[in-house]
Amino acid sequence: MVKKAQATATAEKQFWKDIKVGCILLEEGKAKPFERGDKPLLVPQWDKQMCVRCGLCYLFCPDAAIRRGADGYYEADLDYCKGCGICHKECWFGAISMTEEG
Amino acid sequence: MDKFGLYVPQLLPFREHFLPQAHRACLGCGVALGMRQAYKAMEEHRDWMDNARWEIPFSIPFPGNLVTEGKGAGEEIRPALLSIAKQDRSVSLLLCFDNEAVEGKPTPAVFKKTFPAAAVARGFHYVATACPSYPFDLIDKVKRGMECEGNSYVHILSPCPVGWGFESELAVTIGRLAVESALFPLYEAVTGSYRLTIDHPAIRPVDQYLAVQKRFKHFKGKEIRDVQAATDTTYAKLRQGKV
Repeated sequence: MVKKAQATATAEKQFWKDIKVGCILLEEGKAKPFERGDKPLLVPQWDKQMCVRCGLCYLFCPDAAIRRGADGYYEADLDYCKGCGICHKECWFGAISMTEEG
Repeated sequence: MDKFGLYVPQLLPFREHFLPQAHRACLGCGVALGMRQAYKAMEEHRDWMDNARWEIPFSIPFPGNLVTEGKGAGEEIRPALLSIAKQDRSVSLLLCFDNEAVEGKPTPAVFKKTFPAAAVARGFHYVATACPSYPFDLIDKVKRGMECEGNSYVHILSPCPVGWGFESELAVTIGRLAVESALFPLYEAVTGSYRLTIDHPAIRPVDQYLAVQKRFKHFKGKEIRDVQAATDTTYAKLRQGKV
């Protein structure tokens, strides 16, 4: 078991010959391989009683993780929401609260 | 509030070109927010957008002569400005995302403010400053930059929660403070004549903006007074249309 783990570790280890000249990264940084990764600590939750569907949260989301549902209310895509809290801060009506995902 | 059926953000196109899968920005990133809003402005130019997505982070020549530039590329911005001005294309737009990170020590925006002036001096037809805290202003300016004849340049202040030292939920608020305290005034210059696009009647004192950020923790009375004096003079000049 230990030997097997060591073997896989050496197989994945990169040596200096593998590094490209000038430490160039040939692949761009993307979040796509990390889909459904670690959830954020705090996620936004909409209170539908207070929400007027103005769309400010949608406009100010840096990750484009808020989308419009079929009924006109907005919801967060928790795969890519990082829990920054801008939507909570910018909501004029206080309809968004940051809660721990339960 | 039920009697209102339509709000202004709903007039924007809902189609997303700036996909969440395709970038790896930190939480609350101003560059990502500004980039997303700039993409919203290009919705009407689908022929530019078909192949252009956020795939490679910075310094990308897009189809249709759009160039995005991270200011963190060091001094490369000046050659880029020069080279675009030299190429003399019919349409080209340069977006500069400024997170004020490459200076040796932290300086507020008044003490540098040379990029739009340099662009005007190099013969850019449309030069503007924008901030993602004012999304419709930014979208308007990027649209005008695309539609005007000749080269255009938009300088976008993008708050950086990690580099500036504030909570990520304040990212939009900080940009608004920077504009309201006249440290980063929003103006545009069409063929060299300056005009303020957002002119607040009551300007805030700058220490409200400086106190929130950890990078200005060492700013005490004298430095704050210097910043305030420099801000007042530059803003008074801008109101008269000079730089």
